[in-house]
Amino acid sequence: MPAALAVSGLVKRYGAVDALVGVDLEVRESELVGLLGPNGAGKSTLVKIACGLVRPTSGRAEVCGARAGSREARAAMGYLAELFRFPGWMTADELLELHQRLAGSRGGERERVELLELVGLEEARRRSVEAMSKGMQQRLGIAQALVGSPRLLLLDEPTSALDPVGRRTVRTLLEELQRRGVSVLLNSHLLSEIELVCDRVVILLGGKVVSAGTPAELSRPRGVEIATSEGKRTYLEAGREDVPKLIAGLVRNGQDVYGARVLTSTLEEVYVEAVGGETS
Amino acid sequence: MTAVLTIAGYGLREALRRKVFVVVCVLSVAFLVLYWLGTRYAFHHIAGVVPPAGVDAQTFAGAFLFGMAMFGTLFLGVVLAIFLTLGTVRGDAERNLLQPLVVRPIGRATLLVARFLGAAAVCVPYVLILYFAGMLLTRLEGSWWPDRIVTPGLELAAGVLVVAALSLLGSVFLSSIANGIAVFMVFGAGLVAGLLGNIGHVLN
Repeated sequence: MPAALAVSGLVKRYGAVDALVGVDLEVRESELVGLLGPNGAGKSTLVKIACGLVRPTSGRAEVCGARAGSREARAAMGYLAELFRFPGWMTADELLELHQRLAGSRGGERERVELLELVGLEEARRRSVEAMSKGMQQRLGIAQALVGSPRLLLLDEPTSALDPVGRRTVRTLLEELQRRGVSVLLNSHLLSEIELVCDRVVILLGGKVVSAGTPAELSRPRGVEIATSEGKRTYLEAGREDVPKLIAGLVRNGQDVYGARVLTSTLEEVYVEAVGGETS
Repeated sequence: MTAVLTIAGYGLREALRRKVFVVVCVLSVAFLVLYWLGTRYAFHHIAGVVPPAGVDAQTFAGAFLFGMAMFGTLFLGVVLAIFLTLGTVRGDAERNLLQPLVVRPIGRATLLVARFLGAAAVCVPYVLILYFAGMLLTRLEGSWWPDRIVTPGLELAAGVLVVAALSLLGSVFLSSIANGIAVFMVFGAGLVAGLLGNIGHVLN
């Protein structure tokens, strides 16, 4: 089975500006990949090429084996733009019905009800978009992207307008989608979100992939922290395998040990290191 | 075909829900009421009308008044066509309404054709209703019919469709306001050119 998204040697130029400079990326089946990078790194351009809104200058982008932007590729994917609006006069149910028709979905009312339940909007089915809060509209956007059971979901900042509870709903939703076999490319600035849900992380800078791997692969060991009766002690050079020896030593010296923690760098630290502190 | 009908239906529902129809209906009824009053007054005072040589006063008044009604109908139809289409592409894209639609497996041409058909489905019946209502009011008050009944109405509707197509084309390149101004100017220039052409034809 072809990868949900396969991108190789992707180049995009806007006049004299290089938005993407030979990007290679793959999102496998049921995989949740987080796309990180400062503003202007090329993340949105990559997502727009994947969903056919922008044509690449050169290189290849395929969605489920079909050229990105082709009818087959569009039918296999769902997309939530970073900045989107739905017509205010439409109800949630009407909006999903419109997208069902355009996507050629035969899910009918059952699919609409299921999607609204999935994003926690079952009570707002007959409510017009203009009567919804920003967070509700964002969740409706995710439901819209899921119309027609796409194999690949491209989410551009899906939690930007959500409160902490809304973000948690989206996280749970992403885990559920993963269980259902949906692949997700998640473009977000919220590193904690990405760290919590993504299988792999790709960091873009200046249109290039500067770092990629699982959150565990990307993190670096930063020592061991042990809580004792005399306070917390940090052993910067120690690793996981040193913990028993360190505890035994402390106990021999007459200290009580309450806990030990192996320290690793957070995704935020990895990110800052990868982009060299660049913000835009 | 399903996608075309879906998008056209979406455009129609949008016009309906955003109360475009209500405003258009109220203004059109006001126009017809005023036209009826004007026609009634003119035919009740037909004795004061001095027609050109070889034309009777009834025919002159009827043709003149109905000609004005056709002009009003064309203007209202054009306003409706422009406002329904001026922001279809760039305007909707700037308001971030377009992205969710264009990533669906429908062609961009399908989207444009569907929005044109949606506008046509509103404008053509509107122009024809207004045209025939004006004609009936003229007949009612002045017992006068034009020589050709159907063709001028269809020509008016076709003119409005041309303006809708221009406005849709303009919406690909221009923002809503710029497009609206541009199409109104083109329409105004066309109207003036048509009038000058007719004057020239009469002088010759």
